[in-house]
Amino acid sequence: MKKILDLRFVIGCFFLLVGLILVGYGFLSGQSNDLSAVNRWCGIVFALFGIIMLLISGKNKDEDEIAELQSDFL
Amino acid sequence: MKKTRTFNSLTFAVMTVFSSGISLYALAILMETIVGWDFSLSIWVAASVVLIYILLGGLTSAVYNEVLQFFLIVLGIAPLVFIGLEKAGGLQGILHNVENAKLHLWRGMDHPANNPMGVDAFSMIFGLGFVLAFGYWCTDFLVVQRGMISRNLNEARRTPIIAAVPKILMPAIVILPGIIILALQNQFTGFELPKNANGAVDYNMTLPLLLSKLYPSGILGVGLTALIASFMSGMAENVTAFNTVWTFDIYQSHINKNASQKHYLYVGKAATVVGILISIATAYVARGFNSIMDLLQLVFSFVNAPLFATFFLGMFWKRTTANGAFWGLLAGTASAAITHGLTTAEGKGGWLGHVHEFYSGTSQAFMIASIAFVVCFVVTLLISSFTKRKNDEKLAGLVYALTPKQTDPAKAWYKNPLWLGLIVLAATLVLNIIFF
Repeated sequence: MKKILDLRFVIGCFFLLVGLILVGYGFLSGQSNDLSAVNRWCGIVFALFGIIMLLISGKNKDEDEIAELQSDFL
Repeated sequence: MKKTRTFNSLTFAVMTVFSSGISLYALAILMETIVGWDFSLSIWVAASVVLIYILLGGLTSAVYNEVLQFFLIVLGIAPLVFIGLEKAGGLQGILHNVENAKLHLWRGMDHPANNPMGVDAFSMIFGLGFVLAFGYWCTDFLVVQRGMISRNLNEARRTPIIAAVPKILMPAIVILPGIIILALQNQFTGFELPKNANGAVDYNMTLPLLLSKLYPSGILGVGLTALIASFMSGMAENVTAFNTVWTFDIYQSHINKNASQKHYLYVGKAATVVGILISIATAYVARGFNSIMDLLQLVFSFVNAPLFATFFLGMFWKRTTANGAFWGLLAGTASAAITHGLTTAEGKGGWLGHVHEFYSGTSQAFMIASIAFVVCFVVTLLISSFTKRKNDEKLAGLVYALTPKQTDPAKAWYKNPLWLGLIVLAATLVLNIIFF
């Protein structure tokens, strides 16, 4: 539940999913080269952005846990 | 002080439902144009979605969605700018095919007839640059409300400054498509903007038209979702502000002072439903404007412009009195209404008579804002000079000079509001020089 409320995680998942769908559609739709290239490139950028957000979410989760432990200890 | 707050709450509540209605209208014409849905059906469906997520999650859900929607808007519309620029022949294609006056910020500002916005330098600098801009950033509850839910004073100060960074970059996906479509109209057919019900060119259709012409299926869905998200986000933030102002500043202060928190929660939810219903009505009003930006500026000039004068004097002049603030705000708002009633622009206004005609609705809104600010400022000064003021002790925490200064705990420069503010100012200056 905590994970779902982390916006970075939600944004990361959303863009990774949309990016993968666009890349897949770009390859499978049978559109002309130019049109499918637009979908593929947009999909790659979206997926990369999603991965970056997921990485940030994971990194900050560790920091949040350390801060929580420290505050409990104090 | 209380009567000023009540009056401001009422005008602000009107402003939020108008702004919300404008977002709803924009969403409906998008659905009507691209998906082929009926205008009224689009309005009711969109309003229902926003109503559900605000009722379930309140302000938290609105802010949560705003962040997600922001990324969706930027990433969903940015490819359109790249594709459009490429089709238009890049920067050279734009320079060759778009009228020079439309590519500059300040050129032709000596007279409204010499620039495409139809405004003069005074109304641009004073009306927009000072009154409306400061009014938006310093007094608009939507901006202030976001700062108020931050964890400490430093974060609250950083909120509007950090928000200014994407605002500076926004023209790349908001204004550039408008310039791109002008270049495309000169080179290709099929990029002509449709006319609205009044027979005027409907500039609101720029983005939907570009989306439908330049995006292939696939990314078109993302682009449409981005636009829908932006309009829903605009609507949600206004409706949450409306229910907060209604519940705490009007209902709790004047109608039922000692009810339980649970009761106020139900009142807030009822206010959300009412706010959505009024927004639906105002969406039909927005249909009569060929640029919804003009309507938005007009609404701001009625509400934010005089309020900024009240805040300005209240914060920096300890002689300001409650009576001065109230009558000043009332006079400022009334002067805005009278100016609109006596002047016309693009067929709007002039419901009291005809004294002057502006070159554009934008120019009219900027001038109304300037007049409302000056009238509020002068009336507040005059009445405050002749009425009894509160002693200094009671004004501590309200007037800047009488409030103990708090030291900023942030050591890192990138967390210091002063440095961040200077960077934003420098970026604004550089962009103004580049696009002079």
